[in-house]
Parts: sequence; structure tokens; C-alpha cells
Amino acid sequence: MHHSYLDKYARGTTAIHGLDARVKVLFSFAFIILIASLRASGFEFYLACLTLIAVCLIAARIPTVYLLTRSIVVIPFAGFAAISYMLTRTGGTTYWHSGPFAITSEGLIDASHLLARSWLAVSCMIILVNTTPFDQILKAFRTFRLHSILIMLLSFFYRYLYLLWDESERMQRARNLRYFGGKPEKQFAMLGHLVSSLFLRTYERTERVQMSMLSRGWDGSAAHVKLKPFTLQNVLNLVIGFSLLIILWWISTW
Amino acid sequence: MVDQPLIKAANLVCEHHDGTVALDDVSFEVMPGRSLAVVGPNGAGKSSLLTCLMGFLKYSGEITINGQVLTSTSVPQIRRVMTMVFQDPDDQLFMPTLAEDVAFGPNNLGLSSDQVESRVSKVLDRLNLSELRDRPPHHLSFGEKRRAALATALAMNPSILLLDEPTANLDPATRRELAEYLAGLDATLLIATHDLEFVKALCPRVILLSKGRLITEVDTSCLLQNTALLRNHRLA
Repeated sequence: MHHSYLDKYARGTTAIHGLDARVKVLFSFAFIILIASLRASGFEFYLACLTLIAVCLIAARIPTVYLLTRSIVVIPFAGFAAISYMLTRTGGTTYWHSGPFAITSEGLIDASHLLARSWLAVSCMIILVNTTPFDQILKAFRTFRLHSILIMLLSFFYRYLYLLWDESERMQRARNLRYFGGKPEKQFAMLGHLVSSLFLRTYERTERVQMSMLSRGWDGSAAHVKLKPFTLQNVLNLVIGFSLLIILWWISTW
Repeated sequence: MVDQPLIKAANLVCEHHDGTVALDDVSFEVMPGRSLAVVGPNGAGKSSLLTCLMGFLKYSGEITINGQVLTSTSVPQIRRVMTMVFQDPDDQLFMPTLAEDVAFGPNNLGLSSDQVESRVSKVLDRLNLSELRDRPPHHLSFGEKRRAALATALAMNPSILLLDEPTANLDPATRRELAEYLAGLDATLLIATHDLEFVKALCPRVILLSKGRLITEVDTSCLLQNTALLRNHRLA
């Protein structure tokens, strides 16, 4: 996995990139809470959300194809939940049923709402990480008093995700050099070995990283980080952002 | 007045978790300003010796660093004057940006934010890394990572610097630059390596380890002339 797979555009120079990370983090989470908490929303609401996403993409100069390819990740998770919604919800016209399962108009609507909301939430996160360097996001979390251990875990996750991925790719390559096909059960066993040795390597690396931290005087507490003051301009930007969210909420009541 | 040794290891015995001997009765001294190389074939115990000196491995015997006996209570004080550069720079660089990584040690020393910033800028400048200061470590090339790992240690202003295989996977030019840079440092170096050319450039004295035992402690020039000894211990 290339090191810029997740945040290729994070260090851009557009006006959106220039906004304070705390404003962007607060707005993004408020947006996600809004779309997740509204029970039923019409087409206009989704169109308004989509417009907001499109405006952000254009303003931040992030290609649409980039967003679409990265947001595909939501499909297996949201798709599975949507299918269970679709098969178990009752009400409205029944199109098909078998035993306890049925496909109804209500089920289809709920499933499509779930898919749309999941995609919007993931898109919002993709825009956030592509307009804000990850270290700035972590600093914003620090401002919001998120627990230091959690921040450190997020920081390590971001730092070592690529390394772990590369390690697994190297192991797969080494396996493929000496592997010429076989029964599915053998392939599963081999996959198990790969995962377990990846786990062991990760465990060993964590020990070495901890040694490196200790050798530089770490005593288990988070180091002090200097944060910029929250300016009046930031407050204004936040007010504009929340006004947009209120408009979205109002559209959802149509 | 006779100088006290900066590092003194006496009858060091250390075992790995599986019971295999990592170090067996190793004793040596490092005098201030007299950098020492630890050479030996793979599995000789070089890295174990360094991690033992940093207080990461359990051992029997006695280690004295800068006049202080290494114990669980003295370890934090000792790590203020002695630090280590690990073999794999990815183990050493764990913060979201290079500047934050370099600032990690000075922050833990309790320096003010201005002092930390001054140290970070100075070290990055000396290692030609200033332009990369806001980059995440995984965006750096291997050579840059190696220099960055060194920067994180130098920002601690150590009087003793332990380096584990510092030239591993480096191209000849980067290796030469690293040697030149290390030669200009004030710190006393303890370098674990099997790169004898590198040792020749930096360390007047060398200890040879094999299977955890100290074989000899000699001047580097003497060791390099002793081809039979080098061959016996897979160094030539």
C-alpha cells in the first residue's frame, strides 16, 4: 500500500486546507451525528448533503474518482447491514417472502437510507483526512480532551498501518514464490499461518518501539504539545459550518 | 586526575527469554571521548549488549554508566545522558511527523517549548532534514529515515550514543556521510556493527564478541591486521 493511499491530498494549500483542524474535526463529527440521528429523510436531504460533499471536493481540489474509490470500503460493512435490514423489516408492499424473511418497500427504503448515510459519513471522513494532516487531527483531539492513550493508539495506528501492510505483502510474495496452488483448506491454513506470524512480528515491533520510547525518556505520560489559540476567525468559521448543518436539518424536515 | 570510565561493564551475563545465552561474562570499559566498536558475526550478542546497557534486558554482573550503577531506579537518570539508535529506523520513528518525533525526547526531558523547538531546528538543520520536518516518517526514504532516527537521539544531547548496526542497508555515499557526521560529534560512541571500514573510520578501540563471549579487546588497526582472527569469527 502506498504511503499516501489514505491522505494523498492532506497537505494541499486550498482555503479548506487552511481552516483550523479543530473547526474541521468539530464540523465533520457534527455532520456525521446529524446524518446518523435523523430517523427518516427525503431525497432533498441527501441531495443537499451530496451538494455539500461536492462543494468541499471542488474547493479542496480532491478528484471525485479518488473519493469514490476510497469510499468503496464502506460497501462490505454497510452492505451487509443493509441486506439484513432489507430482509427483516416489515411494512408497506411485500415484494417477496420466504419463511421469516421478506423484502418489503419499507425494508428497501431503510436499507437505502443506511447505505446512503454510511457513504456520506465515510465520504466526510475521507474529505477530513485529505484536507487536514493527521498530526493536526490528533492535536485537535488533544484540545477536545480525548484520552492521551487513545490519541497515542491512533497515532501508532496511522504510523504503522502502512508498515504492517507492506510486511503482509512481503510475506504473501514470499509465499507465492513457493506456492503453486492447492486445496482450499490448505490455503486457509496457510492464511492462518500468515496472520499469526504477522501478529508475532507486530508484537515484537511493539516491544522495540517501546524500547525506543523509553530510551528517549518516556515515562508513560503523554508529552506536552503546544496548541495554537482558538481565534475569533475559527469561531466564525465554526458558526458558518453549524449554520449549514442547521439548514441541512431543516431540509430533512420537509 | 585519571578519567573515570563512562561505561563500565563487569562480568555481564544475560539470557534470552528462551534460555539461550546472549552474553557470557563480558567485561569492558569505555573512556570519555574514546569511541568503542562492538564487532562480531550475526548472533554474537552485539545488539543484546547494547539493549542490556540501556537497561532493557535482565542481567547479572554490574553496569556503571557515568559513575552511576545501572539499577531500576537509576535507569531514568542514565537515559538522560545515554541514548540509542536502533537498527531499524521504523522502530525509532513513531510520531506523526518528523519534527514531533525529534521533539519527543526533549519534551520528556522537561524542557520548555522554546528550548525544544530550538533543539529540534538545530538537529534537523545539522542533518539536512529541515525541509522534511512536517513529513510523516513513512513518507521518508530509507536513508532519510536513518538520518531521522539519528536526529531523534541527538536531540537528547547525549554524552554517550549507542548505535546498533548504523550502516545496515545504506548505500556507500550515505554510509560515508554518516561516518563523517558521527566523527564530528562530541558524544562518545558505542557502535555495534560488522562493518569494519566504518569501525576503522570512527573507533580507535574494538571488542570482538562471538557467541556471547568477549574474545578480545584491541586497537582497531591490530584487529584489522589479524586476518586469521577475523576469518575465525566470520568477519572476513
